[in-house]
Amino acid sequence: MGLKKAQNWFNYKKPCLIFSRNTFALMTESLFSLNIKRLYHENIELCGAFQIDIPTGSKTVITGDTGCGKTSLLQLFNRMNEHYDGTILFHGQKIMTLPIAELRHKVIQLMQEVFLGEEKVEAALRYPFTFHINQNRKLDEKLLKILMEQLRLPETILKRNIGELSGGEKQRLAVIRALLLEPDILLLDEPSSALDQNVSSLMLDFLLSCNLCTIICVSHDPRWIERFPRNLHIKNRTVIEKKV
Amino acid sequence: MDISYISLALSFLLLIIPIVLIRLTGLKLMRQLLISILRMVIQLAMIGLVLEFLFTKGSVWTTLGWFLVMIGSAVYITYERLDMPFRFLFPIIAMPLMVSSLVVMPYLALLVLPVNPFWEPKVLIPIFGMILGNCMNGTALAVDRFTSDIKSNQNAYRTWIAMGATRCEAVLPFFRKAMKMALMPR
Repeated sequence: MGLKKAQNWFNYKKPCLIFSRNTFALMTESLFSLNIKRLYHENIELCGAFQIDIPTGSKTVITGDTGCGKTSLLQLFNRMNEHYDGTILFHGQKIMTLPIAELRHKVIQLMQEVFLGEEKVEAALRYPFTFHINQNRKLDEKLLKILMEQLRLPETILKRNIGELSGGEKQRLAVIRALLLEPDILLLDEPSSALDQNVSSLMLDFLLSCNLCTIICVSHDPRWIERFPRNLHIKNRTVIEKKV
Repeated sequence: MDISYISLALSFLLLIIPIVLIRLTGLKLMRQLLISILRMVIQLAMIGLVLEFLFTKGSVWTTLGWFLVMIGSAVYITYERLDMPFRFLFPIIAMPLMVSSLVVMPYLALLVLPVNPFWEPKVLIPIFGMILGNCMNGTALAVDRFTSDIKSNQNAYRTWIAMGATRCEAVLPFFRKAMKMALMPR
């Protein structure tokens, strides 16, 4: 029921492509293509050579043992991690040649530990719109309403103080805030770690049915891993695609 | 009006208070205390000599030169007090001190204070000392708050950065808090 409604609604917006000056980029299917020779962290090699394509609209989960480099891999996409040799293309363009703020407002990452702000929820949702990169955009009230409904948050929550919220509410609001910025891709780092089982499965259903953007998610949670259509597994310093 | 030698000796009796406290609490600070007393005496004697020269035989140039010495040591002291790894903050620390010297002091000397000549060292040097002292405190408080806030709230900073904020935009909330702290009346 809820899921179907979500799908109907989500189809109304297609993932939009930026950098239209690059007509070639518009013709390519993959949002990201990575050709990595080496991925390292403080001089320790995490992964050897690997190639990944992230098709537009795909849902991918990154798995592997603790400390194997899942977050390092996730942060390649938004240049929060630049410790690698190789090339990464976003819409067919090398990410190192893109202005960093422009990349990051299209490739939004949510931190493992959610930070919303210190004031009211509504102010926190509006805050990213004060950034220079978002100066021509406005918060889409209709979208906000629909997203809150989908994630079962009452409208009264907008007037509450962030300090009073539970971990689950904060996590859901962080996802909503990111989606309001209409990114091409959303990167999530262990989004289920602070959630109870109900909210966790609600969030999972929501993310899998969301057609607003491509999603890459790091997770340990077996319930999450088995439901994602695509699984990139890091083992023995290589990235392998597990068929589900 | 000069202080007599007896009064000067009496002023040293005040040092009995820290000496007794150190004895009672068993702190091993006696050596440091004696060294700093000696340093204070030498410093004050030397400053006294310089100030006497400035007050009696000084010109507008010697006063300005002394101001430069004061600014230099104020910047240095503030910088040392913060013990920061951020070398690039040096000009930021120097800036408020420069503004107070280049704007506030000339304004006071030329428009507000009824002194003649306008560079009268007996009036300007103590006032400049007070302004610099205040400035140093405000700057040190603000910079200290700013850097410690960023260090302890890296998650907030990274959250904004990961949403497309520039570095300046990501530290703006910390900057506002630090400014509020520095501008709050004490």
